[in-house]
Amino acid sequence: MYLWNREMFLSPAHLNEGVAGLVDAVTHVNSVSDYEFRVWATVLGTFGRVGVGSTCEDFGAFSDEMATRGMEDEVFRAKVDAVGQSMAGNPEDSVWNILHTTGDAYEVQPVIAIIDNRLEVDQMPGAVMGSIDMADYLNGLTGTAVTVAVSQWGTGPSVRMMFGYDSVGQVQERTAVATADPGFMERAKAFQNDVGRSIESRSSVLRRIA
Amino acid sequence: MHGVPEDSLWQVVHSVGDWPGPPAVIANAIWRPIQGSNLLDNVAWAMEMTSYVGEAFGARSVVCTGGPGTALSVRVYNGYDSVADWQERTAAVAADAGWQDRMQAVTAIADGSTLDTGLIRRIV
Repeated sequence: MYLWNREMFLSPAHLNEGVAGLVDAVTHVNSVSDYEFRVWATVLGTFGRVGVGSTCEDFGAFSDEMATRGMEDEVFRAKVDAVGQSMAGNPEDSVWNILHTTGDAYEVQPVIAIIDNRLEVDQMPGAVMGSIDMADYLNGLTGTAVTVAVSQWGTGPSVRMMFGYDSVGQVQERTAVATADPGFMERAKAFQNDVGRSIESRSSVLRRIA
Repeated sequence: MHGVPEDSLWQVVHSVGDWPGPPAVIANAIWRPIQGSNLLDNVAWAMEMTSYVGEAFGARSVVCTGGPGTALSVRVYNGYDSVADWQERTAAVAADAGWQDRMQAVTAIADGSTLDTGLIRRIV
């Protein structure tokens, strides 16, 4: 299973119309596509950052469908042109190969927390194993659904952990439980010792808006 | 335009596989040597790696070095018939022990923080 993301930044002068335009475009896509796309907005992280995500078994077919829509669907093209006026820059696409899930990770959850670590190639195996171990442990500790995925092309060697929640309140509550737990702290320390420092690490909390 | 276009000129130093025409999809990687390493070590690694993947998996690859504007950079790009072709071949290569060993080795000479990768589809 693959997770596809398109990350965008809306202009501060056009936040509301940008969100409305994006939701309109994605609603149209969902009415004609074989795939289901969702729209996410920032809770913590850069305000105005929005994302569109979907999952697929075959990224080739998925990508071909998007390319065809971009060339041939005049309704979609008009909506893209409209929402483009509200963008602060060019969108960034990535595709993540999902290696491991715990809990109800494939169910659509209203709030997600994401940790992305960009790494050297030789750090990847250890980071994947450490992330899977942490995912299983956190799922057992708090019941949180966790997805572990990797990406290379378009992102550089990267490992993503994605946590699903019912609400922002649940993020707060479960984060507090985890950080007070000795087992979590041991794993976090072991991860740091075994894998080493990331080239870049980024975390965010997002709320689904469509 | 949202910004200023960026031009570059690359010298092709190695090519693997048949290139009957421009491919439909290209996977592209550009990086610079790590401090204390040198460009030639990285080029030699790229040539050996692409030759290996070409022989083992029939991949089409090109190795380039950067000219003015991209000096001291190495570029490898691979051609594919489709995104599905890229997905299938990438999965096969990534599961290969020989490829994994070579990827481990390159971390001693390549600066991972400069690695820029992308997957692009030809539209004309």
